[in-house]
Amino acid sequence: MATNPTEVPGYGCTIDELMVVTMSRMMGDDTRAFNGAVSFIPVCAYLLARRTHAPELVWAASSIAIDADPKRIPESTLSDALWDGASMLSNSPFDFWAMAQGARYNTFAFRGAQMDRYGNVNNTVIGPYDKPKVRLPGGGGMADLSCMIPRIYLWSTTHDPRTFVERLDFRSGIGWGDGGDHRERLGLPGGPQACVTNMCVFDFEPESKAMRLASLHPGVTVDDVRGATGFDVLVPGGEIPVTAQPDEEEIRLLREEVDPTGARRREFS
Amino acid sequence: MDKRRSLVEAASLVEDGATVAIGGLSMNGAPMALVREIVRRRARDLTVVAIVAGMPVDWLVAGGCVSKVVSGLISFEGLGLAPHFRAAVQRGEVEVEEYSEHTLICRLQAAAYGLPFMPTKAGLGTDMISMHPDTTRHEQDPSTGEHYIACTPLPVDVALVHAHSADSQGNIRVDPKLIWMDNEIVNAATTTVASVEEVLPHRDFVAEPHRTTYPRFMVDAVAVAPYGAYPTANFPRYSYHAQFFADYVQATRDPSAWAEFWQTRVVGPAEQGDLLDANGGPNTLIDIAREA
Amino acid sequence: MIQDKRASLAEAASLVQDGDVVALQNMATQLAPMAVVRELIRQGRLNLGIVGLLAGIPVDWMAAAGVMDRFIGGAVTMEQFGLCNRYRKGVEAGAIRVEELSETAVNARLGAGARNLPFLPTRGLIGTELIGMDPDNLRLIEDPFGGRPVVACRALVPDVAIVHAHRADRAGNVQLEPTAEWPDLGIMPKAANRVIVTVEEIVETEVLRRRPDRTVLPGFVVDAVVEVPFGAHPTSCFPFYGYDSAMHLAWVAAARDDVTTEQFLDRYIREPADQAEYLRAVGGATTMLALERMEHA
Repeated sequence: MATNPTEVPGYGCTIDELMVVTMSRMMGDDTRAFNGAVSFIPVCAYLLARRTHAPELVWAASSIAIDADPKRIPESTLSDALWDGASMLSNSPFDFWAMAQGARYNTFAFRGAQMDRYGNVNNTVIGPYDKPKVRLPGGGGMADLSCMIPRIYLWSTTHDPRTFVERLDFRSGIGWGDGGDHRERLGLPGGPQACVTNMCVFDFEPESKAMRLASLHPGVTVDDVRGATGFDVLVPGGEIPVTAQPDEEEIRLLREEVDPTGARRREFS
Repeated sequence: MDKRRSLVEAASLVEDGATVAIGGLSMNGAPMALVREIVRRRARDLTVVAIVAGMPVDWLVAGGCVSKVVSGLISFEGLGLAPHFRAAVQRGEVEVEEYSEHTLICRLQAAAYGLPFMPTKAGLGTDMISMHPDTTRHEQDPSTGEHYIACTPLPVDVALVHAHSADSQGNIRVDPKLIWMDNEIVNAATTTVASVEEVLPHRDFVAEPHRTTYPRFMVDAVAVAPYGAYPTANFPRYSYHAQFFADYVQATRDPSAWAEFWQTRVVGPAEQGDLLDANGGPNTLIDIAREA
Repeated sequence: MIQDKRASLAEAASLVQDGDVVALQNMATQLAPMAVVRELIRQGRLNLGIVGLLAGIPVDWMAAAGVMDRFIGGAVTMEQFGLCNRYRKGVEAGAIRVEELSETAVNARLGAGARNLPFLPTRGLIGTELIGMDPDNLRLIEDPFGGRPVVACRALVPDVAIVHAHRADRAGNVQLEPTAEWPDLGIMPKAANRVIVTVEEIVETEVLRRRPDRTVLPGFVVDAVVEVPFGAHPTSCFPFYGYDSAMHLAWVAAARDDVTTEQFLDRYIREPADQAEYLRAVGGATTMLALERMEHA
């Protein structure tokens, strides 16, 4: 079950908290988000953003319960225990999917067992499809929502070469596709904006659409990231910034109000 | 964000030349208070989308607001044809683009879902399809050989709907959820304007979230309009006002009677209360009250 | 006279034949028609194709018991309880074939089946590897009006749909408590040739008449309705009861090993003769009361 994630040196918080706060600060007031299964980090980020700088942010818990404000985050981010305080329980085919297809929801965060430099993800198989080494759950709605939602955020609590790979074994969800203008040529809106990991933050280089180091978490070096990443990481010239420190108030809200039982640490087991 | 607006402010979101979709079905649940304000502000050159409607389209046509009607059926059912709609179309002043209900729903869904088309078997073999080959086209599935109609997206600028209640943030409740095709027009529209019988505290929506019909981010403005569907019905609170329909049809038979009727019983009254008083007041409210 | 659709679990399960395509309601740990799933295993059904959006423990049980040989759907996972390892083994060994779909593709395929259309389009899937794997069922097609291509999802008409709900009358009119409505109930029964519904309680039609807006499925599309209290256990039936974490964990532990898997299937599925015996085997009233979510009452 949940283990204790590492302390962030000098920041007075742990890595899960730094990831949540970092993702939360990416969410503007016009964010209209929802979540799928096992999505503790983004769920915490939406709830925190709503309490700090984005009061109008829309979040549909489990893609169902709009504006939910749960007293605690349960073990499952698809379960009804997440729906307390909602102002609408929507009907999945006729409300959620209609609004997702029309991009009325504009923000989606997902992770995969594998991700590549363009933010494409695999949650289907490890190894050859017809003779898989590991049969994973399958993409679920990932193949849909990655096509439909303009602002895609990725995260990973396991930044290692098994997760960040040169080539996916299967593309279950599309990020920037083959890079460059591939996504645009397919007629898909927007694309991945950032990837928040337990080591660093990536953004996407505007031309090639490849992952680029945007900031390093305290104590992490460029070489650490290179060693943990299965593809060549784009490193911009000059000093790489350190990921900004969370405010005391952000940490307090996260620990006391958003996620008092520490469900977010389940992603670090 | 507080989405509450006056009826006048809400109606001003419908600009001249806009494509406006009207909610409700036939004698039920039309956003009449909003339609009346649009007529009163003398909107022009509207394209009106109404799947099955009567009085709201006739008011807009009578007010000279409409250049085109995109619809499945326009009538007052057992109370007659929609007289101004009929006359204006016969005179060639208003264009009609006619669809079947389901082809129109498919066009709205294609717009809502960002799809280039939605397929349906509705309309196959009718004259409807070949009338607008740019928007509905007879196709054949290459793998099965099955015939179907491909319907293009119908983008809507403003959807107008009437509902039972809202909170100040714009969460909307139609309860019981008899919304006919309102979901389709709300999902297809860039802007949604709702009139409601009453505004409730937000906590009422949180207490019973399953009763919410449209979430706040799909709604741009909410105007309080008690009896806002009058003279159409708002199930289960009040029925349509048959006498109004009868008087309306009767008045159109004589130009001077019509001018008087239009002024005193439709566009003249300032507020919702004035409108109801001009149309029988308490007696009318008792007449249209429904047993719950 | 209104036809009485009430049936026993055994009678209802007999509507499923070997080799059938079965649409199964389920959203990870939530709301699966588990009593029918157990009955299908008890009756030793074979070669079922299971259609699901996001399937969990029912598919893992059916994979373990060898009643299914294909999965047609979006994903199979028990979410926080982990991968469905018996299903995973079945796929890795080649005993279970997967027809990989996304959620909109499942909805579109069933929706086309329900509407008697050759296909419905989706905007999903574009740029992923799900396209091209199964060109008989998912295909990029040109827009006849010259717009950009979409993915046509071929109609899927399951032989049987199996769903669980809160209540029904004997005619098979099905009603939900106020709750989220997952796609299953709205689409699967409309697409399938036969429909089996289990409910927490069968009530007089008069009870349904008090809230006709909560009736989600009319009796004329239902072939069998079975009263099964706690019929979704160990998945949840919001707002009546939550999923059973202990039971999921016990299954995950048992599923690690062939012997303990068989012991688990015997103890909880093959041996209990009816729902009451099953509920006793999983901990009786004490367990059921602990699952009820009082804070939602």
